Amino acid sequence: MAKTYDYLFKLLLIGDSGVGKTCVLFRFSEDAFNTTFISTIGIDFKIRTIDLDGKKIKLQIWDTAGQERFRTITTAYYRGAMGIMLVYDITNEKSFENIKNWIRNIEENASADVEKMLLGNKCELEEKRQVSKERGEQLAIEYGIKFIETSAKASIRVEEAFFTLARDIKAKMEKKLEASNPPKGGHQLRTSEPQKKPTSWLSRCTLL
Amino acid sequence: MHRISSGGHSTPPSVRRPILNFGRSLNTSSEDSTISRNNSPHIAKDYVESLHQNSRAALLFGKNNVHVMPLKAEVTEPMPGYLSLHQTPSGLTIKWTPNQLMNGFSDESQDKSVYWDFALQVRLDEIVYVHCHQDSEAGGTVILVGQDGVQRPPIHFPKGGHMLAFLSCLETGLLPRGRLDPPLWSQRSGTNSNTRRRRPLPALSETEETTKDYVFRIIDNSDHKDILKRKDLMDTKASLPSRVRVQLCSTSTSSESSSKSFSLDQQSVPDSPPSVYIQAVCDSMKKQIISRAFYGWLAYCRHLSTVRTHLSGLVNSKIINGDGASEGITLEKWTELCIDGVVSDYGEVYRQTYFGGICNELRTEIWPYLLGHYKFGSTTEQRKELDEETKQAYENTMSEWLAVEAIVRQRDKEDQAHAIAKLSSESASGEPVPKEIQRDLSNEVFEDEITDDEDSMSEEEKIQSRKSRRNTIKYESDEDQQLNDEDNAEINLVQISSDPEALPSSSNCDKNDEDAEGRSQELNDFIHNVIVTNASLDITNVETDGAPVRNHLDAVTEENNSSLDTCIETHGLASPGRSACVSPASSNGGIYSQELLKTFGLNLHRIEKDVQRCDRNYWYFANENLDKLRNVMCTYVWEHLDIGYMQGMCDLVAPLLVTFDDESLTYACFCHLMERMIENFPNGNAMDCHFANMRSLIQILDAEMYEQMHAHGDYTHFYFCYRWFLLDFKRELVYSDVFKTWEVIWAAQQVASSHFVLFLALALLETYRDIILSNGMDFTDIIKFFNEMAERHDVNAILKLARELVLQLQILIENK
Repeated sequence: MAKTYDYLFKLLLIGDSGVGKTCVLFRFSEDAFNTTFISTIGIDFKIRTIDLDGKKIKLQIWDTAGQERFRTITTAYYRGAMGIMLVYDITNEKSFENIKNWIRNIEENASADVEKMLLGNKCELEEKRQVSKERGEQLAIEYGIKFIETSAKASIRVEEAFFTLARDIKAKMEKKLEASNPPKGGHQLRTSEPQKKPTSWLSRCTLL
Repeated sequence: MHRISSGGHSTPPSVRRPILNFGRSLNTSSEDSTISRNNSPHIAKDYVESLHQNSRAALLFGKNNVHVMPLKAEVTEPMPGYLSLHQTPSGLTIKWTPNQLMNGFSDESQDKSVYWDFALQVRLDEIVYVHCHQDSEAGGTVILVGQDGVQRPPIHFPKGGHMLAFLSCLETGLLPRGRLDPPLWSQRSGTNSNTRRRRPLPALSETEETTKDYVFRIIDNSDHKDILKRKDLMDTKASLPSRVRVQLCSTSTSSESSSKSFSLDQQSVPDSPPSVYIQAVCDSMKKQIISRAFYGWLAYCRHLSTVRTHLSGLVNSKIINGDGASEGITLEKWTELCIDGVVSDYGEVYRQTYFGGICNELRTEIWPYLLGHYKFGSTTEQRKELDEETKQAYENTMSEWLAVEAIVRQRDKEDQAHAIAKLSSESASGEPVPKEIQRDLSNEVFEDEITDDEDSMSEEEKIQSRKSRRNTIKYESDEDQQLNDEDNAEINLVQISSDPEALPSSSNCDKNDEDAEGRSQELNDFIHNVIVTNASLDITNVETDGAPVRNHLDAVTEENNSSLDTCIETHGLASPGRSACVSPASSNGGIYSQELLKTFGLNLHRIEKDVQRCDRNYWYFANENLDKLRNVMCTYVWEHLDIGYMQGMCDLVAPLLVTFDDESLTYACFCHLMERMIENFPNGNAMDCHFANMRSLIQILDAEMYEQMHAHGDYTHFYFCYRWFLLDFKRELVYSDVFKTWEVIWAAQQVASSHFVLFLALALLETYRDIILSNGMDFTDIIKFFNEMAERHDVNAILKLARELVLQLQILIENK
């Protein structure tokens, strides 16, 4: 069977328990929402292939248990991740404050150049809001990462969030390839090179 | 002239490769010439004798009535004959001789000359592929394919594992210079229907009845040059001096080093006279064969000893059979086991449960025994007493944490109010927050939670009940400071007092009651829906002689609120005997350290988050009973604050609660369950042990799977089993199957293995092994596969297989 995609991106969702990581993922992968979700134990992942600038990109998105206690198992997945979504709940101040700790976790366990993004979820609950959009934006600026407020329930900007992260990873990857192979024949290299030289784990991606 | 056709002669002469085939085949022609002979009875007799073990060749395999269809025009049907496998100094030879030549060769009356043409002789070094066609009905067929791609006549073995035996001998004979690829052993363990390990997958068990084909490649490991040199020695008939030494591989069993052992001491060659003591070479080979066999045996013994040392702890040494236990404990059986309310034959209870499970009606009664809550041999009265004690203890513990919860709620509310105030002040461009709101919020404890109740209360009742509740809590805070710095909202000590007069702040609140009510409505929308009514009841408990309490209780009970009912029941408020009880909070002095409040508050929030999303699709938790779950969980965490709440605990409480539908019994049994389960959670080391044991078990019981896992390095951390072990497979199965599985796990400890979960995990893997292997699944695929397969497993088949796997290991260990 031929490969049905050009790139495989491995993404990771982290954040406090109950902020809606699984729901965000479910919204993105199945375009559905379920109020009877159970807490994530261990790890799970979902796949969705998206189209970006004519390239098929398979997103393998890992969902982790939120409770800090389980970090021994979840941090094992930080290493291979190319992009990390930091999720908090705009109706829960604490989950926002904990973003700092999650960032520290990333710094300790993930590769240095991993793409990060901040998601303020449950933005449909405006009347219960505890964390203003401005604070979210400010924190994102502080860490030099992008920020989007989403709602998995109301399906607000979830697509946008994942597409943005995927686009950033793609851009970074292509830039890196260009840097390591200075262009000779103009833009021709750009299109052919990434397929020839996938990163190590890209090459052993399997068909699902 | 009749000749015994050699392998080469049974195919067109043009396909012979005298030169290309290195090594042993170089002297094929000379070998042929020694076999080719006149068809005299004398020669024939010699020939037949050569089929037996003799000094020239070792007989590795012999079987009569093996059918071969000679490639001769005049033969239309396969003929029976004697198949033999010989090991000579020059390599392996397969011979097949028609029965007519084997029987009574002295009988001259019949002309058998024609049969010499049918006889087969195939040198194995000419063979590259061995095609095996297995048919469970008719036996098996082996077709040898040469390097030229030409097939030798099919050799058909009768039923009864003869083909397998032949292939085994062939594989052994090839060692150490050659081997079968893939190795026969793993093929056999994986696919042969005659072996003990039957595949449980329905799709596969069907194919067991049909035919199967495999292809083995014969691979030559030997060093090319080595062999050429040796050939030279033999072909030139150069004799080695008697001091020629043959290096025997003395210790190593690896094929690499043992292949070297065949090289002769080359140093002596230049000095040696031209004749070779072929006998010496043959002797050395014999020694080689014997030593190889010895080392093979030694390796096997070591392997078994490893199994015994490392895995014997995983199963009980005593094998208990499941005779008459397939039905498990039925109502009928239970009347036999439980005589006058006393169960003494605990062995039988465990055995029946392990092999057949417990019927659903009896689970409530038997599970406490299995979990160690009830003692075997206890009387009905003793158990009743225990139930009573359990209930009492549970209620006491609960009232302790409910008091703390009340404080936590208040603090939460303040924090939330702060956050909201901060947010509104931000959005209103720095407009200061009205002081009144701050004060109200900091003092309102249950405003949001009781709103629903209040709606149906009379105004008087409302005030009374609120007052009574508010009076019980003294919350010391410096409001001005709070305004300036939200961090200062932290208070060192929070005191609960049973004396309402000692609370100056309560009068402040009353003044602002109306204000607060209006605002609290707004705030309701901001604040999480929480179940706190229990807490309020507990605190009202403090005022044992006050009329407001009775009124409040009446009002509450009229509400017909299930959570309140539960609370009243569990607190014994409804029973007159408990009416005079003093709040444990006050008896403890009612003083809680800041740290304790913080810790418990954190746990409380986590518990609530998980209770709200625990199995809501299952009828029991769809709308009701969440409070019960929460209470059990909180009580456990309160008693084990050092452990704290960890995600997954709710999943473990839930099936117990569904079965017992009784909080205190669920709590007691959960505590027993957690004695074992806690080690699986983070900070325990059971999970790593499970992973290590899984690896060893797979290595021993399914070599082929192990190979694949080994090939994918990332496989080895076994994280796909994480959830299985953490929750005793609770998330993998539907509720009714969880019940079945759990009781077997509990009983297994006494009957077969205290690590039964490992065998369940192995059974799950084995059930889908063909899917996993044929798709070459890597670690991520497996995680995804099993996450998607959750709640779709055939639990009876898996339990059965798991029991079989335990038995298999028990036999392996016992079989010395």
